[in-house]
Amino acid sequence: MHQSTGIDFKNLFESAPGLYLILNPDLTIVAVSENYLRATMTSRENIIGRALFEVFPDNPDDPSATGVSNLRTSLMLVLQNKAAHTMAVQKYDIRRPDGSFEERHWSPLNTPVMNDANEVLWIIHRVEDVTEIVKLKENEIKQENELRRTNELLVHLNKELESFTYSVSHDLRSPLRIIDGYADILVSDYKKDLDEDGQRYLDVIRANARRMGQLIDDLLNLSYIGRKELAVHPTDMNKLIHSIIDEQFALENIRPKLSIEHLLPATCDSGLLRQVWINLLSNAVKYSGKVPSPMIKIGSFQKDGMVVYFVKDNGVGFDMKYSDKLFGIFQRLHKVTEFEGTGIGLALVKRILTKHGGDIRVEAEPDKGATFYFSLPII
Amino acid sequence: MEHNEVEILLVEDNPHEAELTIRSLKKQNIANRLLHLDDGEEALNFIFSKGKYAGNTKSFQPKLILLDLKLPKVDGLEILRQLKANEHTRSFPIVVLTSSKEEKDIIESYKLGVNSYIVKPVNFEAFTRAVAELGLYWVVLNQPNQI
Repeated sequence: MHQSTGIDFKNLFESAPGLYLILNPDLTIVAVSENYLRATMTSRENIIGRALFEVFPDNPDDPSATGVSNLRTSLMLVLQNKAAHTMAVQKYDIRRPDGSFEERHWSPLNTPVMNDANEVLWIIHRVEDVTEIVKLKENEIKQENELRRTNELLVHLNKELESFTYSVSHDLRSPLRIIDGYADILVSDYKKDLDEDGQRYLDVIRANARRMGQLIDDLLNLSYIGRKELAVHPTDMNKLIHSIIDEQFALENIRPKLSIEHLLPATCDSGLLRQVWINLLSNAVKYSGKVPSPMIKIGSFQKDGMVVYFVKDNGVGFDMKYSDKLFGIFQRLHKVTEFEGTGIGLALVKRILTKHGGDIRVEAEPDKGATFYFSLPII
Repeated sequence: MEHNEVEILLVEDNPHEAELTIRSLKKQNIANRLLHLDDGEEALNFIFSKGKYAGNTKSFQPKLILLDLKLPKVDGLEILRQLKANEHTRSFPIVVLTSSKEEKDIIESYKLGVNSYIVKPVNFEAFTRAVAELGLYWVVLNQPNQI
């Protein structure tokens, strides 16, 4: 009958996807596919007619191996229930011809073959080798774990750095105050004993102690912002800018002419944004202070899902080739004697903005002024 | 100076910081009855008449305790905790005078019941002004609890 249908069942058996082992109800091996032989590194003549678990024992070096007992349980269930049983993915250590073991992950399905009397004739043990999938998954988990560890390390290092900055800054303030204090005592109590040079030397000591104090306070501020949680709320930038100008830049006290467009609202930490505006405005006032008719323009627009604000001045400007230096800590483009400052203001501004998911950039030209553009995401 | 004559107790381990603080108070003529102690354990012994101050019978009623936080042996927060936990010393006005702007120090101090928390400015003129103002406030203006 087989011949009459013209079907080559052996070829069919060998070509079916997966690995096959055919067992008697007593669990001796009746037949095996070439793929199974290849995967288990065995040969047909060595296993046909032999007991399954004698041929494929658990790895004796791995006391936690459960493959054999799981398989035995599954086969017993098939014999008892006369129904197929799918096993969970099993880790098998396949014995190589040299006696060593190779780790494979198999997804086995055991199916009974019944006769007309409803007796189990054979059991088809079909295996899908999922080693590659398991390995991929393991790799994925490993990478995820590595990423998590790196992340934890970064958070930890960041905290350590912040607390280092803090304690250094804190412990530096005390000796500075003492230097400034004792120099002050000399100036006030011993002024008559000092000539002009002596007094100037003391003034230099005091000025520098104070400058260092300012640097430390700015550093502390920077470290504080690194640690601070953002308190983000919808913010009316017009209100914010006008309250800043009223408080800090009383119009009669600053020379530049201010022109402020109506500003778009933003969702941000208004306390921190206040610092951004104050820094940018003071810079604009400072660097336009020496030109004949200083002007500062403030405005906003939308671009690429961000709201962009700008502060434009017509002051001394700078060469754009130094622009990458501008937002670093203690970076200055001008001498302290030309313009005061500690060189932390713009680093602070950049840190505040990146913390919001925004950014800052600058366009400038020597003697033509500078425009700072800062952006905040539209939430 | 007897226990009962001390108006201001300054607990500060750095002698130079202490000298500058005392000088600022002297400028206001309020440092005559000031006692300076430079470690936390001795400060507690003085306040509670223990150790070498045992046997003292006069009661200590300060108008102001100026407390540094970083102190040898017993730190400022611990002194604050013990003073505010004791019913006889609870009403002593305590002002923390420190370089620490650390938020957790500030929160902890207020939790323990500090009367004021002053971060010392680096600038000595500002420091002098701050110490003078707080000295005048607590020693001259403030009406202490009469027990």
